Amino acid sequence: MSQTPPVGIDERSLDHAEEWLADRALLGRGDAGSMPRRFADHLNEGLDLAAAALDLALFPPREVPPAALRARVTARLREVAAAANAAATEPRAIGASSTASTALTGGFAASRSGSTGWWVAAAAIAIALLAWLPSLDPRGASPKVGESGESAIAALRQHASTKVVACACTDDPLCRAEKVCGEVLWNAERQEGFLRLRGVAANDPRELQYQLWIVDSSRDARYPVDGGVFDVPAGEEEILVPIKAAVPVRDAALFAVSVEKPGGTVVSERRFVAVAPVS
Amino acid sequence: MAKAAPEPDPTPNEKPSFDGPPILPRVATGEPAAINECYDRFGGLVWSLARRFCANPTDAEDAVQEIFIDLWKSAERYDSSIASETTFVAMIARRRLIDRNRRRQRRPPMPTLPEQSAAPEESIGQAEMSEDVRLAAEAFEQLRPEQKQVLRLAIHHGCSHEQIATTTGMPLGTVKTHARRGLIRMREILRAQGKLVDEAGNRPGGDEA
Repeated sequence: MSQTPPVGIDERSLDHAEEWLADRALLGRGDAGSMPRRFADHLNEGLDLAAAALDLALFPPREVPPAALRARVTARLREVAAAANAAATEPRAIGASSTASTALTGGFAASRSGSTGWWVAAAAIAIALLAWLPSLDPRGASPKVGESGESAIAALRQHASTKVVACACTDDPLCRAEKVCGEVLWNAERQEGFLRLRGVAANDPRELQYQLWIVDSSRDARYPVDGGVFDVPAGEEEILVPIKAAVPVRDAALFAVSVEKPGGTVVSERRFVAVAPVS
Repeated sequence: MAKAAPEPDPTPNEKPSFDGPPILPRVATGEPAAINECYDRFGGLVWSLARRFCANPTDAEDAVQEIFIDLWKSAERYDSSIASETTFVAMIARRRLIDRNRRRQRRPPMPTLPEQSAAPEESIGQAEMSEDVRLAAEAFEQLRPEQKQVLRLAIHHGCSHEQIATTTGMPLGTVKTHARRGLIRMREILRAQGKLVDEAGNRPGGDEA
C-alpha cells in the first residue's frame, strides 16, 4: 500500500481515493468524477504535486514570455488585489443566506478570439426566455425573508432609480421553479442590490456553491463582475442575497447565477441556473 | 528498485524556488510589491507550461493571466513545509491549463508515434535545471519502465487513459494502474528527497507502490 490509511479509512477505500486523486492530477477534476466526501479531509494534494514535479522533469521551463505580457498580467493582478482589499473592508452580509464572497472580481480571461463568449451565451438564454417571461410589478409582494433583508429591500424599492428585473430559470435541473425564479433589484447610484431567488435547489457548500455575476456593458466583455458566492440552505424555498459588487457597476446589462466549485471561481464553468437580463 | 537515499535538508521549512527568497507568503498577504516579483519569478515557468498546453500564443497569454489570478487566490494555501514554491506554482498552472483544455475539448493532438517525439530525457540533460527540476527528473528515472511510459504519454503528450491504451496496447485498467502507481511512487520518492511531506509531516519514507 502506498501509505497508512487515515483513521476510519480502510486500505481498499484509500486505493479508491488515490485512484481518484491520480485521475485528478493527470486529467483534471471532471474526468475523475465525484470524490467520495469522506476522503476529502484525509488526503492532501500529494499526487497533484507529484504530477507537477513530473511535468517539470519532462519539460524543464525554458521559454521566455513576451515582454508585453508582464504589463498585462501585473496590471490585472493589481486590479484583483485592489478589489480584494476593497471587499475586505466592506461588510457584505445581509441575512443568513449569504456567505462570504471570493472577494475577487472579474477575473474571467476568456480567449480574445471568444472574448464575449460566455456572457453572450448567457444573454442568448436570457433573450430566449424573455419571450415568455411575464412582466413583474416592481412593487410586487415581498417574499418571506428575514426582517433586516425585507426592510433593506423595501428601502431600495422606494428609490426612483432602482431597477427591478425578472430572474428566469434556465433548463438546469437545479432550478425547479416555473419559468420565473425570482427577481433582481439593482440601484446603480447606490451600488446596491438584491437577488431574490426561489425554487433553486439547496446546495452542499462542500460540493458546489452558487455565484452571481454581473455583466457591465461599460466594461471589457471578458470580465464580468463577481457579485458574490452564496448558498441555498436546505428547506429554504426562497432566499435573499445582497449584491455587493466589489467594483463599480456602471451599466448592468445582465445578472446571472452559475454553479461553481466551493468558494466560487474567477473563471466560471458557465453552468447557469438563472439569468436576469436588464431591459 | 533502488530508492533514493534521503538527503539532509538544511532548511526543511524553506524551499525557495529558482534560488530566490520565498515570494508566495507575501502574495498571500496581498502585498502589492509582490505582484511584479511574483511574475518575474514564475512568469517563465507559467509561460512555458501555457505554451505547451495552448494552441497558440494568444491562448497562452490568456491562460497565463488566469493562472496568475489563481495563484494570487491560492497563495495562502501554500505550505513551504510540504512542497517548493516552484512545484506548487506548477501544480496551480497545470490545473488551470487542464481545465481550459477540458472546457474547450481540445487536448493536444494525439501523435501517431508518440514514443518517437522529442525525447524528454534529452531535454532534461540539456536544460539548466533548478534543484526542483533535477530532483524530479531523478525521481522519474526511478519509476518502472511501464510507469514511465504511461506517465510520459499522459503528461508529455496530454493523452487520456483511453488514448494511452490504444497507443500502447495495454488494457485500460492496466494503464490506470500504472498511472496511479507511478504517481504514488513519484510522491514517495519526492518525500524521500525531502521535497514533499505527508499530512502528518512525515518527510522521508513511503512504501513501494
